[in-house]
Amino acid sequence: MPMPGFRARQSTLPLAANQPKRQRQIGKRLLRNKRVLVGGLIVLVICAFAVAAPLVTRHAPNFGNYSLILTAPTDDNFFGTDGFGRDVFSRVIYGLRISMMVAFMSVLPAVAIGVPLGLIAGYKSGIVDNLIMRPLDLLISFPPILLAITLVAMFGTRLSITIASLTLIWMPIMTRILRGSVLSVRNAEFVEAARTIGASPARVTISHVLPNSLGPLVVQASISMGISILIEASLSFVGLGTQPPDPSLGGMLAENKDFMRAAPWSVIYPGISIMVVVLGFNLFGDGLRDIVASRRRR
Amino acid sequence: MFVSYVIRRMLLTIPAMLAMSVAVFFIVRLVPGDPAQAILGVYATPESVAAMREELHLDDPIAVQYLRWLGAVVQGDLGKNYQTNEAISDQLLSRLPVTIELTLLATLLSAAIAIPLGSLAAMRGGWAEGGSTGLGFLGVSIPDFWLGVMFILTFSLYLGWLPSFGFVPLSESVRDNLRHMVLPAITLGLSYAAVLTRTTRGAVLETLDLPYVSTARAKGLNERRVLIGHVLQNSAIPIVTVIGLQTGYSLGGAVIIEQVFSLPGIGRLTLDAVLARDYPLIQGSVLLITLMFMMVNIVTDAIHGLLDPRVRMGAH
Repeated sequence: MPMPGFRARQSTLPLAANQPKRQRQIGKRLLRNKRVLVGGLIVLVICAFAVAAPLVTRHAPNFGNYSLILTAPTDDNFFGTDGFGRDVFSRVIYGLRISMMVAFMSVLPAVAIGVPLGLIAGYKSGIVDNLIMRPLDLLISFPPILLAITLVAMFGTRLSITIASLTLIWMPIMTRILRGSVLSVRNAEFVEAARTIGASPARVTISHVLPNSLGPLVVQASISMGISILIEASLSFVGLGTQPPDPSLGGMLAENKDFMRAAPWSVIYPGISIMVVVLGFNLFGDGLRDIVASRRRR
Repeated sequence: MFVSYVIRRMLLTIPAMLAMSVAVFFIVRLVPGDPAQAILGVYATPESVAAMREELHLDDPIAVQYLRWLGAVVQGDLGKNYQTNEAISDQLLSRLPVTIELTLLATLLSAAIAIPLGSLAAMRGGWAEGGSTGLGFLGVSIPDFWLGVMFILTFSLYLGWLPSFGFVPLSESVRDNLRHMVLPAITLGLSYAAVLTRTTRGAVLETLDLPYVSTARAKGLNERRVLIGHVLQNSAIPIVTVIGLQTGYSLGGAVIIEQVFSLPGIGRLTLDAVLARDYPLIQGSVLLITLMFMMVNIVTDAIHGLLDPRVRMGAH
């Protein structure tokens, strides 16, 4: 009987040897795809603005200058001011900070929970699969925004609740996608080969099945981040997300809706900002989808 | 055969409905604190809280409480609004037509834009393809509530063409009803049109490669007849699936759009209930919207069965 350690080393050697070359190839393909490039650039720039918010803004987001109420865009207030004399540009930048935080903090935990669940469900099948997937199917049977609203109604209008409810929306979807990918690769020749040379089920799953199942998950994660931003903005718009006076892009639209005829800039810029950041995530996800699809075809 | 397929499909939904009813039942039970206090609000007297505990049978085992609640729900009794003393089922039913009309109009509109544009993009390429890709990206990136606000700003406040809020029932005036519904329906339908255009383009592209389409062209049929008579019919399943899914999702989207345009539908009622922490009403509206969501899925599956005999046979 061969030693387990020996088997494991043997089964991962070819993959490890090809790893840097493979990573370089993926990097090249990512940079060659215009959508990935443009989308990634938009997301990166907005992330940089969000992180450096205190450095790129001239005014505190919640400071109201009552002598400047509903002022049109100027050199000092790029996006004008709102009904309380607050600088719309500063509020947009700080609002983007919250949007980006919601996007990453809702989707990354969903991926972290969905990956092991999807791996187990897809690899084991049968009763284990049913035990994992049926309760998750129940969560998918609620329209997403309704699920978020219900959870906020139950546990309160706090940003942490909004993020948790978004994680609950994405987690079953991530699980389902990974499970589907696992089902499609678990009988592939390279997985059979790893099994044949004696790799343990855990090693086959982590070293062979998982890396080849991640593509569709990364695509979905990128698109989900955009949708998370839209849902958070919608919740804030109806008063169930970020609470005033904290700046949120959806909340700004609700606050300024009544002045939109006199000060259209106070609703136009927050809306365009949401659109641009969501577009960035969508372009990035769509470009990635093309790359994943072309890899699969080959 | 078709009827038995639909009945089987409906029977398969029962476990999901039961599971969903458990989730809705626990909406009140999982709220931190006492459910009776949650229903009556923070200003309720201890006596009224005690009476509510009695009414909800909160001292019974949770399974008994659930079965009693389910029994009442099945008979259409969703409880009453403790502020207005009105039956919740009556409140929901009076708001239902607005939401159904908004959802149907949005779905029809998105199909009317997406199916021709997606088909053109697949068959002609060029500007149609560019247009469909652009619409696809913009449609899924624009927040629908912001689009609604922009429509109000442009078409109601600047141009004065359409009313910015309110509702006129169909029974009173069809014209006024449509004038009030056109902006909400476009707002809700546009993002769905984006996804549907993409699906239609993909489905048509896939069908165009099949041999019977070449045969139809070889017979001398013009492109329009090839598209309508041969391609669209056989591309219908993914298109119908996405339309069905979107009709379901638009029930959720209606919550926000009804708020933007002040439409008195189920969505706005749900939101008011959430803001007022009216838990029985939240339970009732969540139950109704989710049931409608499941019914839309059943209808979608039934249409699949009609379109493709293999679906019926597979289910058999």
